[in-house]
Amino acid sequence: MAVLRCPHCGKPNPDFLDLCQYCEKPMKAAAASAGESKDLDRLRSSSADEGDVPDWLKTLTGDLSAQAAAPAEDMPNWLDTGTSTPAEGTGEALPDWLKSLGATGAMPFPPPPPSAPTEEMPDRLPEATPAQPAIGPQPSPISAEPESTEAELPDWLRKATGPLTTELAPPPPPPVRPVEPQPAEEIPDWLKRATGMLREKPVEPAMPLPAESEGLPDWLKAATGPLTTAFAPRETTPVPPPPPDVPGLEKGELPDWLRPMTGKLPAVEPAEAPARAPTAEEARPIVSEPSPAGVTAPPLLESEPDWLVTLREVPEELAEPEAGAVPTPPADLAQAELPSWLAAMRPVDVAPTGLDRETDDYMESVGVLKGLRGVLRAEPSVVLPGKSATNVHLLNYTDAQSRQAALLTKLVTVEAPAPTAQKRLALSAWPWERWLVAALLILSLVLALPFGRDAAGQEISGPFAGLFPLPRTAALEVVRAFETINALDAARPVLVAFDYEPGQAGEMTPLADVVVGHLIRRGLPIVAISTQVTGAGVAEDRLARLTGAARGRINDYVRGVHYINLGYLPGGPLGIRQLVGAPRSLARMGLPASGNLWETAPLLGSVQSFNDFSAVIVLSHTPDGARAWVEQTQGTTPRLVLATSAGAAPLVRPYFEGDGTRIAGFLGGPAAAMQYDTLGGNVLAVEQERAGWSRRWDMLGVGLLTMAVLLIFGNLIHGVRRSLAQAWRVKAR
Amino acid sequence: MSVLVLLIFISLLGFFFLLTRRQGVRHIGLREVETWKQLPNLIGAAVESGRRLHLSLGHGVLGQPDTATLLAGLNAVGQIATVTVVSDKPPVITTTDGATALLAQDLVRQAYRQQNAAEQYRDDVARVAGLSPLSFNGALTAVVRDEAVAGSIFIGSAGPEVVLLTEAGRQAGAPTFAGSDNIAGQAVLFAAADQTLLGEDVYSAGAYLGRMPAHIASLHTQDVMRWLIVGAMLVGILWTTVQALMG
Amino acid sequence: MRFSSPWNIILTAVAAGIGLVTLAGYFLADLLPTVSVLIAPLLTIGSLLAAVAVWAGAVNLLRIHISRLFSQPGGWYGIFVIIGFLFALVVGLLARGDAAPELVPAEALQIWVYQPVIAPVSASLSALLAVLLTLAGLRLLQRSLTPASVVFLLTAVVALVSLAPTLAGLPQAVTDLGGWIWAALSQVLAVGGGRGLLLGIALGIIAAGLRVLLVLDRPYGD
Repeated sequence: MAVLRCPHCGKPNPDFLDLCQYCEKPMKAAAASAGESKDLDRLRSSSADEGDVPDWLKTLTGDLSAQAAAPAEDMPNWLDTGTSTPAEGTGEALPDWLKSLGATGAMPFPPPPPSAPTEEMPDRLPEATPAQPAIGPQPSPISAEPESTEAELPDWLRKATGPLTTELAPPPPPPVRPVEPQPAEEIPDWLKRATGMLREKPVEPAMPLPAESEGLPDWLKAATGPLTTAFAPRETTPVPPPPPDVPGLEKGELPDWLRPMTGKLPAVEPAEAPARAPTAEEARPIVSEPSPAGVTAPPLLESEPDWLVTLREVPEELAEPEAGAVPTPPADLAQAELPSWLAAMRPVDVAPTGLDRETDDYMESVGVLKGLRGVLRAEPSVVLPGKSATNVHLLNYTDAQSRQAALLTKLVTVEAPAPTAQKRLALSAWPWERWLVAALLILSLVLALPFGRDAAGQEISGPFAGLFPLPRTAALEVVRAFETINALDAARPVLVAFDYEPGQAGEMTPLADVVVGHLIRRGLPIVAISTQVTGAGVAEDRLARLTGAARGRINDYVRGVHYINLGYLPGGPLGIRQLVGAPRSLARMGLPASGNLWETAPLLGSVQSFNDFSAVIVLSHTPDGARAWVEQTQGTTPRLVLATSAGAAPLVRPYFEGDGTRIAGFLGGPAAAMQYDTLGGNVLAVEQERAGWSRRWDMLGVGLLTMAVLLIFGNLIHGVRRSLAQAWRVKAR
Repeated sequence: MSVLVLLIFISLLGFFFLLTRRQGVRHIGLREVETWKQLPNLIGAAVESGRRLHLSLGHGVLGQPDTATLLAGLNAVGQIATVTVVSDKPPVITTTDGATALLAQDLVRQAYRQQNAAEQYRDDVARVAGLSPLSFNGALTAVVRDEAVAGSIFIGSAGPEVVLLTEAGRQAGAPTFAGSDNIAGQAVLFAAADQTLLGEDVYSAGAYLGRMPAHIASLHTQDVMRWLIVGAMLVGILWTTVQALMG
Repeated sequence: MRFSSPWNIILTAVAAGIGLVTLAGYFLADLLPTVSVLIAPLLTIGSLLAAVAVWAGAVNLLRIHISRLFSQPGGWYGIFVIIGFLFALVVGLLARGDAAPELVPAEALQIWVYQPVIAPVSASLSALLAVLLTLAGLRLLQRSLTPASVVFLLTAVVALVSLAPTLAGLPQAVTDLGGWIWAALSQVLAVGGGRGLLLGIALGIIAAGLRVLLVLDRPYGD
């Protein structure tokens, strides 16, 4: 929320109010210049040396003076608060938090020129107005002292000081925020000469006076004292005394412009010009205690009660000093010095805050209470529309913080743009490594295939064909599996679980073919099921192919009579458990019109319990699938034959070794399938199929060895490259 | 019956650690797990870059043996979602199980509600990417690419097919932090993922991410049980050897 | 323990109650026959819920793809998912699913969907898997050059060579040595390490399950 200072009473007001909520006078007229000068004041007050800047920040940013000499385009927007032409192109580069900080932030200024003629003072001041950029490559003429604009002066003072602005330096306005006292050495000479004793800051009555404010001449004290008593509002800017060398002003004389005023004032003896440095007492603000004393408003009504008249005519000597006013000790009393131990106990929190007091000095302007101050309003300010006048958006920060924020801003604004990643060459962006590996693998597999037939009808073998002869022996667990299936009761169905997906068919199909082919060759009824969603399709496919291959040669299998596919069994182990507990309670398959499969299928008529199956063949690609069947069928009589992938074999083998009675056989991987085939289990054991198996066997061996070679050489290359890169980095470091 | 006794013993041991932790009797630290240590960096990078995280629960199904892994993954999802809801984009959670997707949606909805941002919740935050392990992992490659994820966190069942996800993440520049209860999946993740959770570390999300007392007590219980099992195995080996030597 | 709503108290009580009853049915079937009787319907409900979860998952998948159709560039690929879903659904509903010897056209269509679509796509993904697994192993030392990764690499190479069929013409001693190495690797080291990992995982599963049973962990509500 923006704040406007009333040009009449100097109090802060919300910017949407047209009338001052304290003095109820229009303030829009001078709002713009007052508000903008406030920001300028803040900027100026923050100028200081670089002594507080950390070294690391100095090194990052370079010389601060160089920053001041930077072109205006480098300045971020928030620094241009006081200017009317914000630099373009920099605001977007700033982060939002920094922009918001800039709303009240300050910017260190370059030091003012060493001196300037006094006559230039009035001309230089407008340079700080928003009409002209105060920040720029040129050194700012504005000193560290706060500066005044006419808009901030109350009317009475504007009138009173009107002649002074032409002959004397204008008085500094009240600062917007506390300003750290600037050492006198930092004030340029031209300003010292121009302002002379006027450099004292306007202070609240309760504030201690700076020693520099001494020097108010007696003549002016005497002249202005009654003046302010009579007309001035409570808070005002002290009237600056004329410098001793003002032409045409003799000691003890009133200037011409002041003479007309004195006619309306009580007679005052002009004091002699001070021949000594003014004391602190003398340097007190001239207008510090507005008092109704002396103000005698004419009675509005003839019948005005006496008490009201009495109230208006309070003698000046009885008027209470305003709260917070500094009591003035008698001049002839020496100021006692506090002992050090007592001074140390002085409370530190009574230090002046520098903020404007919010005391309501509203003076009634109508009615019987007209002319009285401090009366309750008919409409309390709290019910008046508007926002809080408290200047909550101002950040309290020190000059050091301000400087560091400015340097950080510079870091952000002048930061070199991040180097954009160089566009990768199409060759390097191409996943050549992946394609190379794929090509090598495919090539090795292709080289194991026959290339065609020669003129004599003989196959032209690839270079890798026949490298791996089919196994002629079988492992013990394979033999036991073969013997178990060979000994099964032909009248009882065998449950076959196709627990693998079509994607794993490459490894699992040989296992399924040899085991199920053996079942078909023996003429055993087959009931298929799967705990995988797509396993039902796998089962249907394999059963159709195997029974079709056997039809007319070995056994004629009829769907629904000799084999059936129960499909997907949901629930995984839960489903297996349910199947084991009550197989006929499984959900019906198909549409209701088809009836209950368990009753319509002749094959399932003999299955009343799980133990009616003669054996359970588990074709699983994962150890979890095999484990689920092993664990959930505990306590049942059917014997288990596990056929798993080569990867799952090491984890399934312990079940076979631990429960050799119930788990009657175990096949792990395509090698086991080939071993089973040598025992005569494959229903497709015709010559053509055997040739196909031989080629698949070659492809398996070549592919695995190619992978091993790729792993070795690939890692060698990568390892050497990595080691060389590390060594290069170490060397470079 | 012996299994029941073992379960009761483990329960009592867990309660013991839980009580001692709550009463502050003894504060046993957790061993350092590099994946959990690096995970906040991944989450922070995702939040700061304004990109979403991909949380995957694997192809586990509630009610099956990997239910515990799913619960661990859901726990991690809840913890991570609570952090990432402040991001511009919510995480995307993938699974193969419809019931798990519903649970994940509920967890993310809770996280939004806790952050007073319930109106920003959308139901498509959890999705079923595929119904079989292979199709699921194949679909994750599209998720990594299409959603421009900052990284993938995979806690659940995963077989060797999880390499499809890690490779997609590698191509997209999105690191993959993964843990699986599957031995083959762990082997693949060790070689292919940026950070891997091995063994039972996959169940420790609640302890490391959420500092939940019950989860920390569970970890301490597992540690004690592990040493008891090791001791029992050594004793068994010794006893068998002695029996063999004694004839 | 805090519950945000009474509904969550009910959820918690149901979850813990069913879990405890199921557990008791396994361990106390002899002592408490009543409890074991309850297990069968609970298992049926569990299986049905699992099937419903599959359906819910399919619907979720469909919904996501529909929503992405027009909202994301490249989301139009989802049209294939939607068409495939509807096709499989209609064909599945039209299939008789009986035990008749001859397939009805819908059943034939089901098999047709499997053979030329599902199986090749899955096989392609599996083939891609082989390439990517090789690639990941090939980059192992590029990612981290540690003793563990070197051991991992050597083990992988030995496993690959051992899983391959025996080369023709190899001396019997070499074949025997390879067999012995592979047996030691797969039946001793791998099984030992795998069992250790599985024991740790089992402990984690037990701990996670007990937390749910004892209502220390509530993934089904706050």
